[in-house]
Amino acid sequence: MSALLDAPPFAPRDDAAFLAEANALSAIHLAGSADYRAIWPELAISGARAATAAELPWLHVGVFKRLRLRTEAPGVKHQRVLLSSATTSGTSSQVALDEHSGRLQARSSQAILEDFVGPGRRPLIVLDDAAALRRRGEVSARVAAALSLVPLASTTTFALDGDQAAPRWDRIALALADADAALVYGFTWALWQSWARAERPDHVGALLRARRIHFVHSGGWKKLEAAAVDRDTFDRALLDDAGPGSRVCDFYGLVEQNGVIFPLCEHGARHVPRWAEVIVRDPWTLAPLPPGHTGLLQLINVLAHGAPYHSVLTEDLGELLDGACGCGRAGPRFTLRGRVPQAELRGCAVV
Amino acid sequence: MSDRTPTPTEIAEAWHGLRPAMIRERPPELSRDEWAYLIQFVDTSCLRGFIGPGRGRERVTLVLPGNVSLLGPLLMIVATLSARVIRVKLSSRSDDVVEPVLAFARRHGGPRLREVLAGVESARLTRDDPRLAAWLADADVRVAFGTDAAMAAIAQAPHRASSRFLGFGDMTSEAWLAPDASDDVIDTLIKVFAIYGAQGCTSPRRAVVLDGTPSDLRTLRSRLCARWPSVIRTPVPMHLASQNLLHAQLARHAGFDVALAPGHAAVLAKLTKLTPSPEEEGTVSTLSTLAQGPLTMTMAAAALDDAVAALPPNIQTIGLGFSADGAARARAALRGSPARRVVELARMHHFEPVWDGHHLPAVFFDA
Amino acid sequence: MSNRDKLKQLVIDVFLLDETEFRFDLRRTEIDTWDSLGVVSLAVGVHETFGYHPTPEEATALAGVDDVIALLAARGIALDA
Repeated sequence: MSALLDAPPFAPRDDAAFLAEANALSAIHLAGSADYRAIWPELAISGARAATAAELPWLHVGVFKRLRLRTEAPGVKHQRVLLSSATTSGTSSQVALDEHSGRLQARSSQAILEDFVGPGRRPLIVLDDAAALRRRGEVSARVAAALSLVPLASTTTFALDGDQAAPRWDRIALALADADAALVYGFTWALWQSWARAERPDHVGALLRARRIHFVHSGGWKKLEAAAVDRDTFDRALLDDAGPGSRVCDFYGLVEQNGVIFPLCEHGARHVPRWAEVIVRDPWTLAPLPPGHTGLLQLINVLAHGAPYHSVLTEDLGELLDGACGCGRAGPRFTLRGRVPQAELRGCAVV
Repeated sequence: MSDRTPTPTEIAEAWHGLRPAMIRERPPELSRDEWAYLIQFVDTSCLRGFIGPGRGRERVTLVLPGNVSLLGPLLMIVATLSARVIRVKLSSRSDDVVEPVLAFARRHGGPRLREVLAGVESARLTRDDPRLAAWLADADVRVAFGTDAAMAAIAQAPHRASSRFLGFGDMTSEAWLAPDASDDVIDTLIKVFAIYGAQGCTSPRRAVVLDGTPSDLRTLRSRLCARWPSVIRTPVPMHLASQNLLHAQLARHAGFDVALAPGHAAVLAKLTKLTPSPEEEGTVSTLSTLAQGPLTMTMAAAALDDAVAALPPNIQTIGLGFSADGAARARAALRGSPARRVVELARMHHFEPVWDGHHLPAVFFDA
Repeated sequence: MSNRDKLKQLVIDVFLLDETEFRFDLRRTEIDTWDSLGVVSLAVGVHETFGYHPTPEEATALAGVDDVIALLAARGIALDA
């Protein structure tokens, strides 16, 4: 277990403890994964002893789309494979989940979410189909994100059937009946299409307006941008039909960083929990960039034992923010600046 | 403009007349290198080589893949020398360089060129669009790029009995260098590679140091890294810098010794041997599709005979970076090999009348 | 317009320079746009302006504005004409 998880996520950081745990984790992956050793041959010989978080070995996020990595180590019992949602390349990332990391990841996501939506259990309504849970051997990013909220749930209701866009309002009404608050989770686009834009029966609207609802969403904004929906419009559309104290919580996370999520605080920042680290790197030199400079985000955590996804260089762009945040959370924070713009190199027949 | 059809030479001259406008303005879709090449290509002295002795075949259909290189506009220009009706099928899902060239020529060309281009129709179509089937059915010449399977499907689509088919499939190319290659040769290799990385059929996806030692190979890679920033002064786009980091890791995973050119401009993946011995089976001599990045160049040292023996069956061009004696020796060894073209390193991407084993004037003209 | 002014204008146009950046002793290494396209554009521009078409080898070998002047002079095209 990581001792870093024993304190609240945004309590003062212990960078030395973080680095020691991250180095130990790199050593576990080097010893237990031949694939990882092949990619970091110099560390396989000299060992993993980074003097700073920026020196820790990393894997490019694309590696998880091409290789199914696994680390064999004492106490690591592999479970299902976590798959990212379909991307423009048509290939999913694959992350080997394991029991030990699963426990750490559940503690992590629960602690982070509680910091944003408050403690206490309440009905969780998931804008997805329960059938997505029943795939053997693998679990989708959507389901994994929804499951990260389960520790905060008194009951869990999957509100979509098959590929129907309209939710089962009867189930939702039942879930809300005896509660004064609820969590509603969906991918950003699903929450817009199947909730904000959906017609709902009057009695469900009345139930919602009498309850404090936390709408939690993740996933990209691309479809919403195409539909010319900005964050304000999105939030307003959700909160219009929700009771006093209701809020919208947008979180950023990657399947390759399962368990570590970055909700957007009320001051527009994404805070890094004390068991994680974020480095912004120059795409052309990999030099770590100071606050105020946009670069590639590298995400690091000390929770991932089943495969070397503890340190991942992403294709997301971000910028570290300087100074203290108005929300009062301590530690580093950043803002997203979209994805690395894509364009293919020209060629002949092979493309 | 006139009652009679212009001759191929007059059409070549009409293209030539576009050059003064071309030096003043460049469509943003084409890189400076591509535009420079195109300016040289439309020189009458160059286009004349593509004119056959007989009558031009009148209807040409070009089927171009997404992200086609400059070969797309070059073939379109060549087709205008012979054909009156040219149809260009562009990819339905990506950028293209044919339409920007066409638009430029229509805007800046003289009356004769505009008249010729009135016969050119381009459209973004999917493979199963009925218009494409109609274009293929009545064409005298069909030109297609694509995977071998895609080309076979296009070749077999209904067509006239007399129609000719020209297919450009999945080909690869190599650069062969002497161990003591001059700085000029190193710079040329960098320039030739940087244009399309490993993506073009004429791109040197592999560099072979002939009769070199592992130490020569290390030296070559160090020299490439040292000289890269002064030869290619523009940084690679951010996503390619990022993709190169990925492909460096994938190449390492595949057993290569990898270095990144400064600015993550390219992945230079060194092999210990070009042809593994039988007991080393499983050692990779080329990168798998999985690990081959768009800007990954593999490198090896090999004896001349081994380099010839290790040529892949789909080898298109060998670019030679040698003194005259070295080049003659390599050319002699390559006689009878599957290589379709053996040229100086600097000419690897040069589009010539004999291309990929096809004599283009004989395809576009009836002798 | 004198040949001197024509050459100055050509170099400014071809290499996308500000007028203030132009000098007759400018070297290729000082001009970012004197790349592959610059070489070809300069050759075509010299042909268009002065009637002489440099060969590809001549065009590639030009290392500064003074080399262009020398090339023209060798073809009987004087700058002060």
